[in-house]
Amino acid sequence: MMRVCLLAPIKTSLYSRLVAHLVAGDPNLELTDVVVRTPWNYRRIRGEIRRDGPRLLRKVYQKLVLGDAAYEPRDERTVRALAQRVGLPGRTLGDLAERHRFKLTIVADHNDAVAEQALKEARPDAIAFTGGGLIRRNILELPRIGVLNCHAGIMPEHRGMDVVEWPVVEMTGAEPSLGITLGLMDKGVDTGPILLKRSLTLEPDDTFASVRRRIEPMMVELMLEGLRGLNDGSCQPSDQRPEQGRQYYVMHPRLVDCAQRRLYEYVATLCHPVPTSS
Amino acid sequence: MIKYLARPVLELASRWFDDTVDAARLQAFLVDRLKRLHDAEPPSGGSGGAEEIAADLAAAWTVAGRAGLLSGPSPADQLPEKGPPSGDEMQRWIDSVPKGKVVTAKRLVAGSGRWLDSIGVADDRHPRPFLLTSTESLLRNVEVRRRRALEPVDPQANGEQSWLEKHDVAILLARHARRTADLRMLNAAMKLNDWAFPKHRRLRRGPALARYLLALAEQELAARELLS
Repeated sequence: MMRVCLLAPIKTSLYSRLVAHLVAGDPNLELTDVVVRTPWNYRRIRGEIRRDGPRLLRKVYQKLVLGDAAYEPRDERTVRALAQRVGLPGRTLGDLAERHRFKLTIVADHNDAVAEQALKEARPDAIAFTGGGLIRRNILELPRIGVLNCHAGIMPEHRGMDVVEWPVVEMTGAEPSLGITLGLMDKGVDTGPILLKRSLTLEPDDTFASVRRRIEPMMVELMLEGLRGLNDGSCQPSDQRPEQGRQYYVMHPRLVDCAQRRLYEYVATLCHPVPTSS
Repeated sequence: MIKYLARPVLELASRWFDDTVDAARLQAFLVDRLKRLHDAEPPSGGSGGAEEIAADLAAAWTVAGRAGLLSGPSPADQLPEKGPPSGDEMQRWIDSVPKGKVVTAKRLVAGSGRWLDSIGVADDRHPRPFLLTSTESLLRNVEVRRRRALEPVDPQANGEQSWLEKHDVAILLARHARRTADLRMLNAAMKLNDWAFPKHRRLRRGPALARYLLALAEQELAARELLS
């Protein structure tokens, strides 16, 4: 049985809770520990302000204030609907820890001494990273297999940030390459070996928000598929070459506007396909 | 109740954190300053610093015109043309860059923006690996270090010289974006120019303002060509 630990950004993260619940319920996986960051930490807040700027406050509103209520209850393809289908119990990782009897450790930073000690004692074969900042070498080197991360873009072509928007703003006629990638983390940003990929096709009513909502449950399922595949040997990592793909960063609002315009124009062609001569 | 109150409060707070500058405001600033300085700084004036200011303003006017922001004859026609550096000069500069890195977390090599732009123009169809690697490094430095990007300049530069170097990098990134259709470069140029705005909007004249106006004009031309 493969020993798995999980790193979570906050105790109420629906993505983290779903992965934890499904790993804990899998007969071939053993969830031993969950290490979760406290959001009420000066260094974390300062770091996230620097990285996300004004977007951080929207993120805080969605994740901390609204929580599960951020998702449209009638939408079958959200992570909330997935949670209902699998019968996710409780509201926090603490509730799941009681239910599944895994150890829950709350830390200021996933790389700090407390986190490292908890993970060393757990002796995981793999760690599932479900958010909470960069992971340093001291943690990356702990598990036998590695730290798994699901990236909301297709690697190696689109590494980094805003990789739902960048393929759209860059597209030149053909459908933008959207999807998710499960990989093993290394010291670079999205440069580690790739395990699995899943592409996503745009639909006529799509917005960036709806695309992100559809991606989230795919990420849960891909993480579980990857863990099961590593356990039974059906999933093998393949290295990326540095020259493949590019690093992307937070998009300037003017490029976001352009991306939204191009998305709108593209999905309009899906509603009204241009006839071709046969 | 808290959920409904939280949203407008958070939206208001997010505007306080937002360091981006509205495009219309930047364009209005660019046009306003160029028109004022066009009368105040004759294109054929003086030598040394004044000549460079005049050249930057003339170039900014021309580029802003191509971006659709200004009309009328360009003052650039009245200025003597300055030829590009020779291939040997460019290679000597490349060889002088310590460890081949124009920028690190600890310093920016002075002249990087200008020299790399010259290399980009000279070798337009076949970018040299050094140019690509260096622009990627500059991009990363800007995106990761944000307001502290491109500092300090080596050899040591005063405040105004540091701004000139930053504006040269913003100009390079905007032009490189147009040459290669790499929108990430324009993305970084826009951020650099936004961060520089609070300081430069108070300036009425001088080399930093002139170079900043050129950086804005290049950004707007790239935006017009690549984002429309």
